[in-house]
Amino acid sequence: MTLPADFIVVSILGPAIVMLVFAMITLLFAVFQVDRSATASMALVGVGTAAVFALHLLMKGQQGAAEAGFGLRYLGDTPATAFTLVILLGTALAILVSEADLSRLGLDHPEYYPLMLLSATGAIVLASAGDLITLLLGLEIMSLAVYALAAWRQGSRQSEEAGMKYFLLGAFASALLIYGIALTFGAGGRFDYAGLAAAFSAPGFDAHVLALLGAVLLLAGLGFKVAFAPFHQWLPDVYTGAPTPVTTFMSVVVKTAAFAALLRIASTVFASLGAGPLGELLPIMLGILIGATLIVGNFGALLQSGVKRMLAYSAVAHAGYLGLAVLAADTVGTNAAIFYLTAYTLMTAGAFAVLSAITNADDRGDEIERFAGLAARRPFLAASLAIVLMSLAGLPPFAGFVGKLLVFQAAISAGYVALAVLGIATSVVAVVYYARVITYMYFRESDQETIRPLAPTLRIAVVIAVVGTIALGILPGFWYGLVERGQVLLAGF
Amino acid sequence: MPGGDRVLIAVLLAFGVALAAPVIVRVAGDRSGWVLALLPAGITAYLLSHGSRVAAGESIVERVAWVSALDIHLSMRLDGLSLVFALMIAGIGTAIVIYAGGYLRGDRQLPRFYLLLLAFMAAMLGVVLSDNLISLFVFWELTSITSYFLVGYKHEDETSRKSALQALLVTAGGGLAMLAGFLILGLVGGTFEISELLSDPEAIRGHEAYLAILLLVGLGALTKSAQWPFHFWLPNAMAAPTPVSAYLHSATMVKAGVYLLARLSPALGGTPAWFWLLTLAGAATMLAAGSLALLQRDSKRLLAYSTLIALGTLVMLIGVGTPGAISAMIVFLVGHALYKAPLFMVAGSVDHEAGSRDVTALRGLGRVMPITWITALVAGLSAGGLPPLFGFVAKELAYEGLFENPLLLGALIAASAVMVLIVYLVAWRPFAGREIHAPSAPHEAPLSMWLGPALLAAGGAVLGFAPWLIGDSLMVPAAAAVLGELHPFRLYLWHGFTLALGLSAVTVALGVVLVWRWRPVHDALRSRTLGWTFGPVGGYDALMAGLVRFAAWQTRVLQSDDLRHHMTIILGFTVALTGLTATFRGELAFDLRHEAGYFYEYIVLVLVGAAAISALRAHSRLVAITSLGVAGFGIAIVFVFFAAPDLAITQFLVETLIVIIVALVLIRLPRGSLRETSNGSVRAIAGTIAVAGGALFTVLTLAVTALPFDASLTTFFEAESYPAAQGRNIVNVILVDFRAIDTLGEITVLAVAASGAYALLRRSFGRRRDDVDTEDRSDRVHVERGGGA
Amino acid sequence: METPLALTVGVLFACGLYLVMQRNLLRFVFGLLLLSGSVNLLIFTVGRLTRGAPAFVPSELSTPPGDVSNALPQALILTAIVIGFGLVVFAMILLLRTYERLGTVKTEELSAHLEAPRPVPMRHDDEAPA
Repeated sequence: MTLPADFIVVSILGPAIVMLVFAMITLLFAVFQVDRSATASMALVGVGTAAVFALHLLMKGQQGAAEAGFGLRYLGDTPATAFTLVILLGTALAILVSEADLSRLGLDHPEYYPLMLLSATGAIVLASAGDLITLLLGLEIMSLAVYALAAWRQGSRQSEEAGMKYFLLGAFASALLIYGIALTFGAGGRFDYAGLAAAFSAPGFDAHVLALLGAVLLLAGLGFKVAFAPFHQWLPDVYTGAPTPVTTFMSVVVKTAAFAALLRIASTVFASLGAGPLGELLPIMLGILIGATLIVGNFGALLQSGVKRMLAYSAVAHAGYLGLAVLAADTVGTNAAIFYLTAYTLMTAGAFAVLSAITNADDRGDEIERFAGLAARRPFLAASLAIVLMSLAGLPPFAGFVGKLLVFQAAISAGYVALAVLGIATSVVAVVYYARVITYMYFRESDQETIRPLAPTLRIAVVIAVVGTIALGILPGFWYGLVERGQVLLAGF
Repeated sequence: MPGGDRVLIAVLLAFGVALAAPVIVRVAGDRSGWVLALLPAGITAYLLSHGSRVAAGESIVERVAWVSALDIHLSMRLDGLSLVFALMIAGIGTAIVIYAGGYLRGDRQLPRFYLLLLAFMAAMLGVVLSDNLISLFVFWELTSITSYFLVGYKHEDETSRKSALQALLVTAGGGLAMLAGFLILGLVGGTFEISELLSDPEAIRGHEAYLAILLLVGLGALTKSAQWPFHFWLPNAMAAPTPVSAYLHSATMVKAGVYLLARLSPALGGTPAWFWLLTLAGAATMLAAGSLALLQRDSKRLLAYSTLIALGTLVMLIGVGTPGAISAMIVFLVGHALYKAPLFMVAGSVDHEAGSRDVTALRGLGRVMPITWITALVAGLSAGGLPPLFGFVAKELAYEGLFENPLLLGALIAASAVMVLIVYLVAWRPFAGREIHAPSAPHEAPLSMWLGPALLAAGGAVLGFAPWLIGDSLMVPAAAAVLGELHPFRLYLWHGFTLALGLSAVTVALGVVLVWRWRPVHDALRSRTLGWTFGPVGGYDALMAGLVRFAAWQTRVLQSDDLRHHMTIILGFTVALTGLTATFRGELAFDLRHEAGYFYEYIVLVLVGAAAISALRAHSRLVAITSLGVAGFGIAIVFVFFAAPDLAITQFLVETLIVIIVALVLIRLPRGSLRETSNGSVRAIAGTIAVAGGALFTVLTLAVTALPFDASLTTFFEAESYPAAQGRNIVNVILVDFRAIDTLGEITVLAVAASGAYALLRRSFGRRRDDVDTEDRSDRVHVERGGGA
Repeated sequence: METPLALTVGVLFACGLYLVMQRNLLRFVFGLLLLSGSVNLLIFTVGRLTRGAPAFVPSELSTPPGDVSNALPQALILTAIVIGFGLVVFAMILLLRTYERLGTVKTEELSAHLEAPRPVPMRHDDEAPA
């Protein structure tokens, strides 16, 4: 049975539209001053409903039917829906963390959840975009809401400026991106990725330099969002300065969406350029960015005495590992990245959730000394943090290990052995800074004040994150199989 | 899969029991050691039940898909080599679990201890039973993680914390290198299944990546087995509780590297690179450990150095790789496990009951601890390589295996002489004598603490008299697995008067000389080298300090708080990248012969440019904002000239709104000049980047317009606009029909901006600036961490 | 006519770029405005210029006659203008708030002191016996 085209469009747009509708509902809740926890519940219901839609799309395995409309290229294929699900998972975890902390942090305003849902909507659009205009729209919807959320913490000069800087650099990155779009359009005469890829690999095409420059600017613009060095400089200050629930949201949702877009462009536009006469340049540039990111992120994290800031730098480092998947985006990299980002969402959200339980009442105090003896005082929190940190370090049998394994393997099979080895070498540095926190928790006595009781929603978030981290590590096949279905995998393996 | 064999289930069951251990400990209380020992004892029995089939040359293979898309399986293989290792792990594990129950009696963290110890055991079984490189790596790193927590168990002690981290970094770091090697090996061999890789060794040895594979995998194995120059973590790890040292650091974990080398030697071995890498590492380890042992007087550290000697011997024998050497390696491995674990446990018992591990502080303990002493003597004689014990059989074979390599043989003889000294210091000196010297009143260890070591030592004695008990059934199949083909050999206690026996006599004589001259040599060495850091440890330190220095340097260079600094780095980088691309091959085509424009068009464009420059140079905010407005309106007029009325209208509207909003905000900001205070060079850098960027974009715009235009999509919109969407304004049709969702998106953007701005504004006027400044910077005070960890 | 347009794009771009590298956040926002204008012109130019024939379908026809201006890039420019407007409004509000709370709009005065990189002492247990 062939479905009418309009129906397909609607079903593909389902998750984004549901999120938009629920954003509006929560906004109405806010206007009519409904109880905040009811707003949070409504937001979670929205995320759940959108997830049902996305899961439905994923199970149907709609591959080619994804493109609909005329100029519109809003995709509903497996990567798009898988990334949508990861984004929804991250949003749900961020809402749970927020709900525990909002009033304590003085963030208790009606616009909070609507903005978060709007931002997630933008993220979904970004991850599903099949053309450059949709990409730009998704990116701006997502980013504007996050700028507002990040600038909210009051009382600290540092976070005020961090929010300001984040916005200005982000706005500038958008400008770079639009320039990239303009050049790419100029070279290929199209906005949709598939059309551009076809134009760039067409026999008579001779504007390689232009197309390449457009690609470089696209890379720079998206490089801001995914935090490739040296475009990462906003990140440590912003992650540290923003309220921890917002940092949770930014670190998982924004990163997932930006990588989804980058992978999509890399597997179409960049890949078609790779066959051209200057094809070797783009992978070299990407390689330089990734190498720098791996080094800067891991070594930056090594120095930090604040756990939140350490996690911020480690977020940069993880962008480097994901970059390895981007290099192999047209073969196995996309699936590797989906898995990595799923694992990353779980473990990072878990780490920030525990962090927000341990910081002071005003969300400060992330010094490593605060974690001393946590294993004796709060065994649940300590064990949870230890598990997600080991997973972040890429140690088995946790999800992070499988993710790293997949990206290293993708990079090696795509011929980037040196970068993969650099990635593995810097992983050793990562073990140092993650293990230091664990050492403090387990092998030191505490002289700290007692920690407040764990809020129920925070406990749920931590449990989801930890159980997910272990389950994905021990049984990676379920999720990976779902994602991998219908795609050629690891030819030659 | 042979029916009914469930090796994997045995491993998973071990993990399950490990997770349940805390509950079991709470229920069983003081008897928990005996209860939990049922697990390793059961696994030992299970493994022994397969002995006959393995002895017949069969391997039991199982495969359970894990991530089948990636060829990662939980494959298990039980062959001769795996069986020997697995029996060591489970058998000695039984003794250790019982011993730990006595040693750590009443410790409030006992539940956690057993969890980790049993999880370690399960992981170790996984390492030696895995037939897939990736699952082997998973178990391998699990042993590193569990050992990290076990070494740091006595965490009130700063030394244990540091040692735990050091051990973790060296072994997990080496493990990651090994992972890289495995990935390349998998790519080269086309599979991660070990048995398949071993079946086609030429494809691997002949591949250009062979050396990289060997070095990376070798790094993993050599760090795990504490070979020189990575040996330093092992003596330091003696900070662990004694059951941990006895189990991890003599019998099992440190043998994982030996296992891996033996396992992969059919595929990787037999080349000059293999020979030199392993024999040099092994010999260097033996000699370094032998000489450093002379400095020690702590019984556990002495035993750690003797373990290093044994590990060096094993690695060296694998490197030599002849059938004789490999047979000797297998026998030596078993012999070592049977004497070293009891010696460690004895040292722990003495520490526990007499209060010291300083061999010079203890005398005469044999009078009050007779069973412990007998155990120590039997195990010690085996360690010293004296007949009629199994250690003697093993050492004779090792000597014979090295006859073709006299230099290596000499190194082994020298190291074995030091073993004799160590045995004297640990198993004789504290026990002998009539008078009792000890920090606390010593008494015999309880049953749980002497039974295990006594049984293991007795095993060494029985096998000394009757080595044929395990010869054909275990040793020969194990050697065959390493060699890749069957080489039968027989084990004898008495070989007759051979060259090997003569060398044994020489070894013992040298050992006696060392015993006789020990005190003066030891004192002289200690006084001279105290505080002197031995090379490789210095290397580890320098590496750690270097990493931190590098991290500080790169952060200093890259990370700044100044937005302008960020912008300059980012823009410089981007312009460099784009410039690099553009100049790489100058194939940008130009065509300046465009259709000329009208006079008024030029005037508008000049006006836009002039307005931009004026905005740039303006000191007054009013001038700047007016200039921006002029530029914006100018662009709108350009849209009018070139037939884009929709754009022009939107641009006029938006530009007007922007000017109004900016002006409104400016009213609230302080009056002041826009003049910059930056110095000339900063301005020059910014100017250069700006001019380069501007020039680049001029060139690019020209290059694009010189291209033929592909109008297919535009033609589609033009053709479909009216028929499909009933609209005559094509731009509008695109926006509201074909791209309706995008328009919805634009509305969403504005909605987000509005609600965000509204929220900010509302909050903004809630608090005064003074509130902020009082808290300024208070949140970034850092307390300097105490040393390390 | 493309050549002068290309030059204008370049001038606007250079001025915008220079301004975003300045200390005064107000000038940064002005720079963004110029960059946004420049990119709109850029897209417009690379979509090819057509004089005097707007992209309308006359009432008596169902497709436009002959050459009309390229409608596709115009759609992108409209999107870009709207987004740029959203960004600038947000920027001005943020700027205002920053001033209200921090009392300055200069980047170097904004900078809190950087968290100084702090070497972590990494020690080990020596080989020499304790």
